Amino acid sequence: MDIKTLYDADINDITIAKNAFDKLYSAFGQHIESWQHEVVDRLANSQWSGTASDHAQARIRFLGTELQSAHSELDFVGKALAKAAEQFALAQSHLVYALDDAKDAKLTVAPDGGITWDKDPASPTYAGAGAETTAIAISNRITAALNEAAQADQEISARLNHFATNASNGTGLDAATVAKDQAAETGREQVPASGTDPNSVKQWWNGLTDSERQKFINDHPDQVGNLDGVPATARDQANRINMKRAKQDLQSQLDGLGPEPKKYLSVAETNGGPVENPDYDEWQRKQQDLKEKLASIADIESRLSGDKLKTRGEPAFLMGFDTKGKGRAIISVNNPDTADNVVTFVPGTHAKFGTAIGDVDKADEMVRAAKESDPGSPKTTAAIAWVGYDAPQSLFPEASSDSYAENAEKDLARFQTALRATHEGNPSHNTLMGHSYGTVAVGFTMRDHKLPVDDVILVGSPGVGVDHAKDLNIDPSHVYVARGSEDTMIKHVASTGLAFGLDPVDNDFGARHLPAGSTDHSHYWLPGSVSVKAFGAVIAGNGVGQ
Amino acid sequence: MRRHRTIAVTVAVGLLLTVAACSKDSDDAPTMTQAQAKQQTADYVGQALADLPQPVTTASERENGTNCFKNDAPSEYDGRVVAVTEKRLSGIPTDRQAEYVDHLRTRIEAMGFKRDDSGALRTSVHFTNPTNEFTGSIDGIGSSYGTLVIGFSSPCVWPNGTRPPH
Repeated sequence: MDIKTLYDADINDITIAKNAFDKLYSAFGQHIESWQHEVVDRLANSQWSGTASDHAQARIRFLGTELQSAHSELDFVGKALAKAAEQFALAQSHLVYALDDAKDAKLTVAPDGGITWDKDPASPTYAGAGAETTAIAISNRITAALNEAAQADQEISARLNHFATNASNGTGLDAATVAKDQAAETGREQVPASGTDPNSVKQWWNGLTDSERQKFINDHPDQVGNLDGVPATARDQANRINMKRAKQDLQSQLDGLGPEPKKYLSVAETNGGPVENPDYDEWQRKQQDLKEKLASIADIESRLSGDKLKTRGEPAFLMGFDTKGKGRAIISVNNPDTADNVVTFVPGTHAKFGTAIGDVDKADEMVRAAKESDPGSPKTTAAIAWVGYDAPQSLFPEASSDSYAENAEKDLARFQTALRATHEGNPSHNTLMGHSYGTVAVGFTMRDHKLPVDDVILVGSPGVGVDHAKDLNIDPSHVYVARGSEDTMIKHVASTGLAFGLDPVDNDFGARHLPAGSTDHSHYWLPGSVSVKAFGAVIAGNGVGQ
Repeated sequence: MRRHRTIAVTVAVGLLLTVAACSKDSDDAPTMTQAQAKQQTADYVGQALADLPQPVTTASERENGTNCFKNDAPSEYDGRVVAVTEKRLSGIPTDRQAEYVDHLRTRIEAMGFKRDDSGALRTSVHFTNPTNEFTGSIDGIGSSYGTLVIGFSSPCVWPNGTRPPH
């Protein structure tokens, strides 16, 4: 989905189609009634009897069932179109508001989403000192609107394909098929909406029978898999279905990309010297994105059920999955609903679906380090790689913006609440950990929400949005910071205008310091490193630090 | 707070990019191979466990290593790996654990390793060999389960000793 397509989309056409199907549904219903009165009832009241009559009556009853089934299918199509129109209209309005705001802020949005502005303070079209921050926020809103539309597109496409198949092969005349479709439509409405309070979701889940739960997982994996408040094992099951489908979809997109366009337009085409072909860059970008996502799925599959599971040993659970845009992946090493200790790890700049396995590696190391802090203990630890937000993809300008952390807040807070809601038995010892820009997301979320966490660890942090640990809504003695002596990059960031508040390793910040040795910015989790040993001890509640 | 820092941000960016670029260059240096690194960790474990007081049962805790990451993109592999060997020591009498830890600590220091962050961790002792950057550790100190874990890890190495061509 691109900006022009969504902006220009005439959603009224969907509503017209929906109204046409509604009309057809009504007219068809009237024909069924007429058929009932004028044929079925008259025949029943006639004196006709005997074998031929029995056969005719049976055939007529069967035909009546088929007509009712077709009637219901028409109703489903109308409802699916109504829902799609509503979703597209919402996505379009989000896009239009974002573009209007861009215009008001004197920003120019290109068709590919790139945003430019006049940087000359003397110019009448000067966009102001805060233009960059505004541009990033608007860019995020545009991406979100396009993602909404893409999701609506996928959903309506799948539903219409289903009903079209039913219509063309005749299964739509079958009562059993219609009953199944009806259950799916009802179920779709019954699954709590994304963003619902996890405690309410858990209550809904608890009210279902085992077979109902399984049916929701099988029939609505897209809704169940990412729903906070659904237990980890069910989310995992649903997301494995989602992953299988996404893999097929991405592969078919890759196969359908077509041949690589030529890199330069010819002299004849441009009336001048050869110029770069814009289609070439777009084709390359799409191909790289699809290949990276497919490779990431292969890595995740390996960790869930392949070679990486064999070498790592501990089971992994796919608690969140989405390949749209930069994508999302929430993967837990061990089951957080049954573990004694649970750590949620929020990675920073450059984190995305395509590189999620690197963050799962860190989760693996933390599970091991927690275990080794008290070897022989029966206590278990779950470590979750939470690639559950749109992280910045560049050190500058993106990682200097608040917006990525602000956009993560609601989802991260709800995820923490959900960990408590779905946990079985005694409450687990929960730690929230961020690395690099991930600490900004963690800090903002803790500052603005009262999170149910016991400890927080800020690793290689450029600041967390507060100037003192006590402002994170947790006893400062449970706030830990770590910075390696070779983490020169973050050391410089934290001491410049790129920082997000007072440097957390500054003594005035009031956090407890963890040993981190001589690690650089990217290797706090190497096996055997003093930093990962310290993380393990905190996560397992075994105490550490000065 | 964020709106008033644009100039400082611009100045910081140049510095930041310079720092990131410098870090990247240092990762290109030739290293020992992955197989050599693995052998070295196994040798270190063997040396550390020589003459260990009895009783104790030694079992493999970890043989597989892991990946290293790009300095400016901490979720992306950079192609280098870390080799690891860890052993689990079980059946140590609880009242003699300190004796075992002292023995191992003395052996490891005699092997050329320096103890890091002394006292910072209650449950671990951590060592670094300044000549080759291998690390060692003793975990489970104070555990009531009669178990210690000893391990050695290599620094990040290229699997074949040199950075593969791009």
